[in-house]
Amino acid sequence: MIFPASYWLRVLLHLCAVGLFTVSLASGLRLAVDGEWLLADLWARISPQGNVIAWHLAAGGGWVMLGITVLGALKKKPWKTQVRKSAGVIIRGIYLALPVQIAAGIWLYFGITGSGWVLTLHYWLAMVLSAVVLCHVVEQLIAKKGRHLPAVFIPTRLSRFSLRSLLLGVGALLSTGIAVVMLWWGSSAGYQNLYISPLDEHSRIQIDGAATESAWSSASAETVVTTQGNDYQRSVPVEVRALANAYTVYLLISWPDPEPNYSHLPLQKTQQGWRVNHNGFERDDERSFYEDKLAVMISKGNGFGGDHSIHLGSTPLAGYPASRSGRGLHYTEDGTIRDVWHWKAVRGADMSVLDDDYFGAPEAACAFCSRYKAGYQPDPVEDGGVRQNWDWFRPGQVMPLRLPVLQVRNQEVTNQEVTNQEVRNQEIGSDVPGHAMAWYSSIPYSLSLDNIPVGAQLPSVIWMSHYEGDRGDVRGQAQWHDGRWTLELARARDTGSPYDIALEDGVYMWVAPFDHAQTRHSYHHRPLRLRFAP
Amino acid sequence: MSRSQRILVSLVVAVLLPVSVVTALAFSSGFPGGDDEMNARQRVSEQLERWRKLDAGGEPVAVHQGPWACVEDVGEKLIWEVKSWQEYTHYYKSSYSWRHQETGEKDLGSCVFGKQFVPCDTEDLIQRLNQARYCGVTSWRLPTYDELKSLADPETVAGQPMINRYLFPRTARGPYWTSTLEPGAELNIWTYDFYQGSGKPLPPHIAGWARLVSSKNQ
Ligand code: HEM
Ligand code: HEM
Repeated sequence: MIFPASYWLRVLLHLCAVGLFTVSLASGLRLAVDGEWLLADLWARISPQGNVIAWHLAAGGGWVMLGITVLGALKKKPWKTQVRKSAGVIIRGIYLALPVQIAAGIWLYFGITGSGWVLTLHYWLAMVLSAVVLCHVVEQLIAKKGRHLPAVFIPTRLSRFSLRSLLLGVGALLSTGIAVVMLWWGSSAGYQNLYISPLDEHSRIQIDGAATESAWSSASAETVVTTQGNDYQRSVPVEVRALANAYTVYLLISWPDPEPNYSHLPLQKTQQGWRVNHNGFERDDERSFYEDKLAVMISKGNGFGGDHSIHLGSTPLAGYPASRSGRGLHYTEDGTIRDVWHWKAVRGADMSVLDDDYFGAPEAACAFCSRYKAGYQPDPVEDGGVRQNWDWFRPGQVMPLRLPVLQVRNQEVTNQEVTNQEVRNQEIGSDVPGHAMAWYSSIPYSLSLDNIPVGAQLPSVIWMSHYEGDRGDVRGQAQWHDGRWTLELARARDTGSPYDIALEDGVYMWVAPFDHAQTRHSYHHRPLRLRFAP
Repeated sequence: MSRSQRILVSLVVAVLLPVSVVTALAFSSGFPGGDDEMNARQRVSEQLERWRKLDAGGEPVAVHQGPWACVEDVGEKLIWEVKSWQEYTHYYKSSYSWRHQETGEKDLGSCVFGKQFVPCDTEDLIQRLNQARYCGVTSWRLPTYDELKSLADPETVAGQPMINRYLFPRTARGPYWTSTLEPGAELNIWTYDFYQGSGKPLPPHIAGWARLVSSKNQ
């Protein structure tokens, strides 16, 4: 026991701890669902949904405040009475595990390297703490028959207390609060500055995914560590550099990936017909047959949970269609937008374009939509982009939409040769061949034209053309070398589109790499903050 | 307070605090049963009641299955054509001048017929759908202005066409023809634009889009 029985600060802090523990645990269990830990299925069913990251991190702030108050009180010891010795091993367990848990949480928030094993520790400590707290409650209620309850819930000493010491105590609590808030605002605990090097107007940056321009070597680099992606515990540190002239911002983003993935849901001919190679696509959670991707998000605020844009759980919006993966939906509650640029290794490759999207207000409920995307929507587009090579996706058999023209003209060539040749005609990067074909060198599929041998594959990605409209506002190209992707991209500082956010001093930025995964990306909590030279 | 009273009060606090915290958390992503949830549920059930997807033979297609060729408006007993990416009769970017029997303009649009683009007008599309008994029906025609406008849905995402894109994907930007004439000396026909959510009369030589409709009962 650290405080005397029924000491008012003890009551207050114990109440705070009970409240904070409830929030931390409830919201933490929702976060743990993606981790596929033991019991994750159970947590998916019982934990609360929605903006739980904000709750979890706000409670984290509460814990820090509580911790400082306890340390301060222990140092000052303003009470007169003798404090009894601690009440047994169970409580000692809590005193031991809680600070470690809080430290681990702070570690995760700041994304210090090694987040992978800290995450494991944080999850299992949460389990241990829950068990210990449960024992503690059972012990107090049953073994001790509630005898000690008033000593922590009812501040009897309050009556005998002088107003002066009460004011002093409340003052102490308030000032820790203010100190923590000041620390938050005054330091860069809420963000990490990314200084943007000015680019001389005559310097040209070629968007090719190779940082050959000398300007890049003088730009300062910031790294954010992302975790909880397709390989949940793997930390992916993403390095970002930025350059800007008066009109355009250039970003160079690079991250490790042992091997580049271009395969995107390839169609394969079987004895029974065409099938799509997939692993989770029907529930928007493809984890194997998918190209590598990376998303960049820009927001004017640095609120928790990607500035309050991610709502976890299968139905964070009651009455609206569920998230098919059961994992969550990106949208904003106040209808403001977060600008999202989505680089896709195959789908954007020949067009040197990123998919310019946004997270905004959730789309109206729809009965016939198979995938409800809530606030995740593309910027307006008239035409262009890519199409999928099936008339309708089914986990079993599918009907391809298009066949390569060459396949039909020259029935001797094997399918793989066709697609390769097809793509060579497009004169694009050397790694993508076989994983995509161009719409205009394909024709509608029909059974009579299909003499592709059993076992051969067709690409599922059909390129139309560069997006016509706001959706094509971000130019980018990436290359993979020696275990690293390097993405070079450019966007106008202000596009004038209501679906974009202007790149001004002080806006925040997040990155999310997808390692051969459709929706399971790794992420970080503390955003980068773009700082332009005045 | 007696000792047992104090224990009781403590217990109440100890139970109420976590319960209220969890309740606040659960409710923070919108009150179940609130207006927003009611509207969403109503929208979903209205859509399910009004629409049914049909295949090219007129057989029903389940709500989350595909592909589908037509959409039935169950209450109105109408069947609507669905457009396609593929370059054939239902190509979403085939355009048509407006013609009805001998009135209007012949062949000033450009549509896919067979394997190529040919000059086209709305009568051509009507004939092709009727000949094919598309979706099992043969009274294909241009919709009236009110019928076409009844497809408009103002609640879709900003920047997207104002039509249910999960039933009627691939809606093009620009005017869709109707059969409703603007009264007056000159021949002008009402069109509807789903991006703008508004209509206007246009002369028949304009190359517009067409989405045909048929009554269900033959
Ligand atoms: C009693 C206190 C706490 C409990 C019971 C708790 C529990 C949990 C649980 C169960 C998870 C899920 C692990 C996973 O993703 O697999 C989690 C994640 C996390 N917690 Fe805590 N936590 C506590 C305190 C804190 C504190 C003080 C912070 C500090 C800010 C914190 C920050 C985080 C972060 C950043 C994550 C990772 C979330 C994500 O990236 O998805 N936690 N916590
Ligand atoms: C801060 C915590 C974040 C969490 C917990 C989170 C979680 C999720 C989840 C659960 C999904 C899957 C939704 C589904 O199944 O349909 C998803 C999708 C997505 N997220 Fe996040 N996200 C976070 C932040 C971000 C950020 C910062 C970005 C951008 C940099 C981002 C970009 C995306 C994109 C583009 C998708 C859709 C992928 C696709 O379907 O193509 N997310 N996210």
